[in-house]
Amino acid sequence: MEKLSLTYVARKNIKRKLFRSIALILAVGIATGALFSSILIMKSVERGSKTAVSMLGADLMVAPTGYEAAARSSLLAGEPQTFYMDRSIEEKIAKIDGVEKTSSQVYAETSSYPCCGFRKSFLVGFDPKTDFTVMPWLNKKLDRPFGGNDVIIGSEIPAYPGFTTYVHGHELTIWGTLHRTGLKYFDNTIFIPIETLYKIAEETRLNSNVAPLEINRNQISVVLVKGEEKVRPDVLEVRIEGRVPGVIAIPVESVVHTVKIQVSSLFGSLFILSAVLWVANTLMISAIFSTIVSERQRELGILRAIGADRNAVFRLIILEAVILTSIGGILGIASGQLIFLAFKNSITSSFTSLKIPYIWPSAVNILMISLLSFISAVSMGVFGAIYPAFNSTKMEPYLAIRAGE
Amino acid sequence: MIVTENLTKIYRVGDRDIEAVIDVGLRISDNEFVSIVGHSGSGKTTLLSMIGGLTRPTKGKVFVDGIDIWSLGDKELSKLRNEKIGFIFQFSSLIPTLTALENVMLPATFSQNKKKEVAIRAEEMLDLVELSHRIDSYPSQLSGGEQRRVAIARALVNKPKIILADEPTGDLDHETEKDVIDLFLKINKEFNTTFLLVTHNIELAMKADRKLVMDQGKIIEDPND
Ligand SMILES: Nc1ncnc2c1ncn2[C@@H]1O[C@H](COP(=O)(O)OP(=O)(O)O)[C@@H](O)[C@H]1O
Ligand SMILES: [Mg+2]
Repeated sequence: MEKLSLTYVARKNIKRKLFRSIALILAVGIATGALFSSILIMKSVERGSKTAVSMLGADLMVAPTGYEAAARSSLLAGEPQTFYMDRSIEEKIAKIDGVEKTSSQVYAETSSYPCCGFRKSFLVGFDPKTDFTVMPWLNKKLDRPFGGNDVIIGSEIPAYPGFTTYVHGHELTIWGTLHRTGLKYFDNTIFIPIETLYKIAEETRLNSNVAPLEINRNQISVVLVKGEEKVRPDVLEVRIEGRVPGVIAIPVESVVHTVKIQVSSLFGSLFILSAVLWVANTLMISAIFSTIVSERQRELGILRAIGADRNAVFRLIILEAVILTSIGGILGIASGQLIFLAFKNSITSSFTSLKIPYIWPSAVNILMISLLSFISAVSMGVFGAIYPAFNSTKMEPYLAIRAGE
Repeated sequence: MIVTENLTKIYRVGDRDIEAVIDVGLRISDNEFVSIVGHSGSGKTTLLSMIGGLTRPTKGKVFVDGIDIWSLGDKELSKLRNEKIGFIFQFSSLIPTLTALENVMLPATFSQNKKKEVAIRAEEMLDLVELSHRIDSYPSQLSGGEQRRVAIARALVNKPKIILADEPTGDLDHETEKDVIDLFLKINKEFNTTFLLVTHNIELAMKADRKLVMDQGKIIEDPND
């Protein structure tokens, strides 16, 4: 026989009205699952966009006016789109007060890779002389300086330093690979020296055997700008837009902010739903436990007669609620985790297609989110049962025992 | 030893006062077997409940072994109920979700007693009430008489000095009723337990050391007065 304890008595009570208990467990499970999912998604997006921004190492991204959305999505979803401005813009920006570094990048059409064994990957021309956003994330590289016919590839591209590859018929050597970031912008991109990219574009116009690369020399897509320490990005934004006509300066921090708002409007409603469910469940538990307490008034009176003090009766009721909500909470979290595990890839890619960067939180973070959701589940039980439990201790044993006589 | 002084209970129902128990002064010695008879509504249950710490007197005092029980806090009073008093009610008072053995062990859940000793003692008590073969049965699987015997075993499990029994045989047939009372007498002799027994059956009441008669909240007959 099991040890006879308050918990044991509470567990036996739960089995008494099995349907009611199961319904309650499911309700708590759904609410907890919703909470767990919404926090997990929001954390993933936050992590994704924060990484995007910090990996870039730039304060501002300057793009031609009218292409703000395209510039943002190229950064966040790693889908470089084709929009161009003149390279001379970089010099103009570099001269502005408060600008510390600038570097140009050009985004190439991404669909045309007739050869090379690469999956569909992105092609970004960067300037090795001024670059401050790509090189800092090198993982492995060849033991020689970066040359004109070298490329750097993201971690998702299945190749290693020393491999040879072809881009639009041009032979190139993989010089280095980047650390895994979880962002397509870095992970699935071939970074190629900007001058080489112009040369390849010219070659494709002469060679009808390869797909054309529609880029003209001195065209760039964006200028990445790092401001001086003491200058605020929004101040710099105004200066750049004021002095260089035809461009828009996007503070990179604001990209995270925009994404947060975008995601909040999408998944904030899930969070609100789980908050509403929390309140609804807590009220429901309160109603159910009021019923339970009055149903069992005589029993509780008998427990008091045989020596249970008020505290023990209170604990018994709370325990019953906590056991129910714990089971519901664990069920909700476990099914949430299972669903995310099962659909991990499709979730990530559907976010990417929404142009929202998505990186799964670390195991520790997922554990924390689970813990938080669990606490929320248990708190439904505690808050829901606290008033009925308190009420049940107020009645004199004599009256409780005679109740319903 | 139980002593009551001017024990009074007035229930207020609406704007009417019901004097359920009026100025009862009682002395019950250790090991004494006292029976109480009286009409329905004469205040027997209320009197027993005040003595057992289940309802607070409107006036007067209850001393159990010299302790003014209604001066105790909830914790101490509960402990006293747990350790010194065993209750047997007039209805089935078992917890339906627990087996006979678990019901008998239940008082130990609220005391410091070692669980193992309690389990052994619980089995002994079920043996005493001749239900060793039904220890794993649930109350719904037991007859009325068997349920009452489980309740008696539960009342005894913590070796209380006092048993308060409120019409414990009211709903049992004649044979069973006699068996239960004989069991009480046996326990009274064997364990030196003080008994305060409310019954409708005069014949059974006569078997007690002392028979009290209650009417309209007062004790109108007490051989000791
Ligand atoms: N909780 C209560 N509220 C109001 N009146 C009560 C309550 N309990 C008992 N009474 C009244 O007190 C009187 C004594 O009741 P009780 O102690 O149950 O008597 P007995 O056990 O002798 O039948 C009765 O008139 C009864 O109606
Ligand atoms: Mg009565």
